[in-house]
Amino acid sequence: MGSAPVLEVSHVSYEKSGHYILNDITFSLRQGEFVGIIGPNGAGKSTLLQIIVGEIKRYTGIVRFSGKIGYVPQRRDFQRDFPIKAREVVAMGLYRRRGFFRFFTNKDWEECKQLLERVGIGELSEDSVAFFSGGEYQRLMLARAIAYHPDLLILDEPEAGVDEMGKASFYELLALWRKERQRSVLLVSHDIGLVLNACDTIMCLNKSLHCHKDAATVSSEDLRSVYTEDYDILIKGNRHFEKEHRR
Amino acid sequence: MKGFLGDLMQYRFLFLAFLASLFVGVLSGLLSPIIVSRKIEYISDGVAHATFAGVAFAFLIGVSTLPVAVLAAILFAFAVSFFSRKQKASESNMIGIFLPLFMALGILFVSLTKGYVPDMMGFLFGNILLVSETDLWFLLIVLVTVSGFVLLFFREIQFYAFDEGMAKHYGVPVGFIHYFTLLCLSLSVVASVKIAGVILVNAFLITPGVTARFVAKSFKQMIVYAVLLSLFACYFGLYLGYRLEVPPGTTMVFTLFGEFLLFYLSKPRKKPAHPKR
Repeated sequence: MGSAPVLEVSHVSYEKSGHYILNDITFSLRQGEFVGIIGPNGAGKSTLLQIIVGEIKRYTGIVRFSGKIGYVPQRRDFQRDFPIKAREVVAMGLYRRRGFFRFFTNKDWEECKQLLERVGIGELSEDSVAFFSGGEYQRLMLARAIAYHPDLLILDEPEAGVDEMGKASFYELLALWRKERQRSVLLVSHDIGLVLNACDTIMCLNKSLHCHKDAATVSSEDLRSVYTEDYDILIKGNRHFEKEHRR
Repeated sequence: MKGFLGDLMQYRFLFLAFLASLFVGVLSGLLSPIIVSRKIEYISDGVAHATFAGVAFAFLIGVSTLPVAVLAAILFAFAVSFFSRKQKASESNMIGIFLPLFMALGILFVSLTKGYVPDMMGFLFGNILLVSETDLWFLLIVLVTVSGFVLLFFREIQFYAFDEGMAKHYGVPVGFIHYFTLLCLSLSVVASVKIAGVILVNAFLITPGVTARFVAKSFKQMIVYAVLLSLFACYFGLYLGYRLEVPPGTTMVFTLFGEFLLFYLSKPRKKPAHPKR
């Protein structure tokens, strides 16, 4: 694993209607590092990602990143019933390489198909995404992000709406890609058990950064500090986490 | 039908109306899928009403209606988009504010115009049988512009229509595509208004896209189906209107609605997950 920081976030704060959504966040991310951000609802996790990818601009502080960011957002306001084939969605990730006013070539389409095979949905290449299940859709989004050849991959709750099997295989896929390419991953998730298992580093966020440490050293106290009164509910609802962390 | 075709060859006004209906058919078929997918139907409705203000202003100052109507339409579409994209107010908020504003301006201009205000009813409700050669040339120019835009930027339009936010992230020039779409929309509304009028023009710009989406498996198919549906409705509507001696704009809208109903009722209630497997 390299040690040069690929992303530096320095004293970032974001305020909306007089309330802090994020307060003085500082961290850096090394090349090849897999960082998971955890925290309760409304902790500012997605906001932080949106600041990093440039969707939110009115923040204070500095975000430094040189390279390309592949982004898998929370499932949001895309046109679910829009008639578009899976390979065409992946092609969106190739767009910057292809450039404005240039048509996609057969080679590009072949690359799209290969990426879909890589994420395990190659047979759905010609299908309309309207028919996709939650798990298939997330794999499709991952294929689109990977098509961009990103230096940093950012994922916002990629497991939302995906069953347990789907989650596990999605994380396996992610780990494999990261290992092969030596790229960095920054992930927001509510599944603490999976995050603690998959990530090298954990950031506990609740408006401000409560901890930023090696996944192996995250303690119940660290989690209690961000989840506060929800902590007990949290570990009851997460069998995997309970096994590892309940004292 | 045979008599209609004979009349088409015999009467110039009917032949011009036929050509105009073909042009509007293709034009609305090309634009409708984009409008429907991007959910900017209400902008097109507002643009249609904004042209009323433009035409009324042209009558007031005594100049040609076409350029002023075009300017009013573009001004409306861009104003709504400019204010709503700043995210301080929603698109529907801004349409709700600008639409009555433009209508109020239109009514004011009409009341200030001295003497007879020509053809205002025709403008509100349309009359394809009064289409002039100038109208046809304008329609043709708009059709070439819109066709060129859709053909050259098909991929960009597709990405913008599917997921604007992520399209922007991956480098698609969504701002250019959005504003050029609005420009095409404004020009198309003004060009089509002679056929259906301000009140009915939206049926041409929305219904074919909605109907086509019921059966299309790709965006390309959606555009092709929308063009075919729209063409049929324009041609058949013109024939019906001429035969029944009622305004053809209304029969075209009825045909569009008939197509919608047919496809809506024949569409399965819920799409199966992976029909291939």
